[in-house]
Amino acid sequence: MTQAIPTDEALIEQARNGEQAAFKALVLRHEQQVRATVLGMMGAVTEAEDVAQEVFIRFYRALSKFRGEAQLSTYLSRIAINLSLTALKKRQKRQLRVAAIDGKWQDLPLEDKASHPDRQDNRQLVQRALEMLDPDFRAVVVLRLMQGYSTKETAEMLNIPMGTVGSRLSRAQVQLKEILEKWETI
Amino acid sequence: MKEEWLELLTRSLDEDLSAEERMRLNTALATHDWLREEQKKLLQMRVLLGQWQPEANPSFADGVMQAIGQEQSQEGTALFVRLFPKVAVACALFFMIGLSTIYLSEGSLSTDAIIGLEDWSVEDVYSMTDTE
Repeated sequence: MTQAIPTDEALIEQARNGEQAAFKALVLRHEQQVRATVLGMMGAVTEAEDVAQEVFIRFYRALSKFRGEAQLSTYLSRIAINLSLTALKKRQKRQLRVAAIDGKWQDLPLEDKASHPDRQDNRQLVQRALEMLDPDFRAVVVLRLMQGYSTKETAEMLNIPMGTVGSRLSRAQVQLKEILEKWETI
Repeated sequence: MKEEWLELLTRSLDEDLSAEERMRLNTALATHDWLREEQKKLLQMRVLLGQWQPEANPSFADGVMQAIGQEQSQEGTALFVRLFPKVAVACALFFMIGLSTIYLSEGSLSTDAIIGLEDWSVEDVYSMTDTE
């Protein structure tokens, strides 16, 4: 006889009662989605893995307050996207400080940065192409096209109007297509 | 015109166009090879994005659990460190008040006075045990 797979709600209840194994089961169930969101936003850097871990740590701290009004996957995506955007802003500030100190760094236009990719597989190329988008555009692409949320859900998660999701998505797709065309990925 | 068709094309992938817009796009798609090519590339790109997954990280869940464990033990230590000065001051005050009370009532701070045996003799102890 096969054992029924526990629902997220059941695992959350067990985790609230201090069962670490139940929480680990939740992490294993949702880690791929959370890591895809964070790494899609931040690139494959160690910092991104730390941010992905932080998503689950925040969830653990909020276990007692989690009322299950939203699906757990949506709740985690929301934390993931917000933490990623915050981390990206911090990274940008750091880069600006470094630039101010050595005075050499310049923000290259998209075409120049996209012109010479190394030989890489599609997964890496897609990731590099995403990194070239503005973080606000990237967030829309990650949630809408990679995680498959609806325009309404994406707008709610990012706290922006649905029309803004549409316009950012349109512009982001055009930019991504240009980059991937240049790299002969599509 | 080209820009307008492209805009209609990208919008058509995510939202419902009006009947008139849909007709314009369909006519353009039927007429122009380059627009069909654009449509094909956009769809290919969306498939690539939809299928994208990061490389697996087998130690991720263990890392999360370890970080949570560390945080919990740090919380315990932090609580102790936060409360220690208050507890220490309270104990010192309690000790000083106790000693002052003993000194005021017994007039001395000898060991017998502190443990309350100053006025007792050995016979008193025997008489207590005899009553049982």
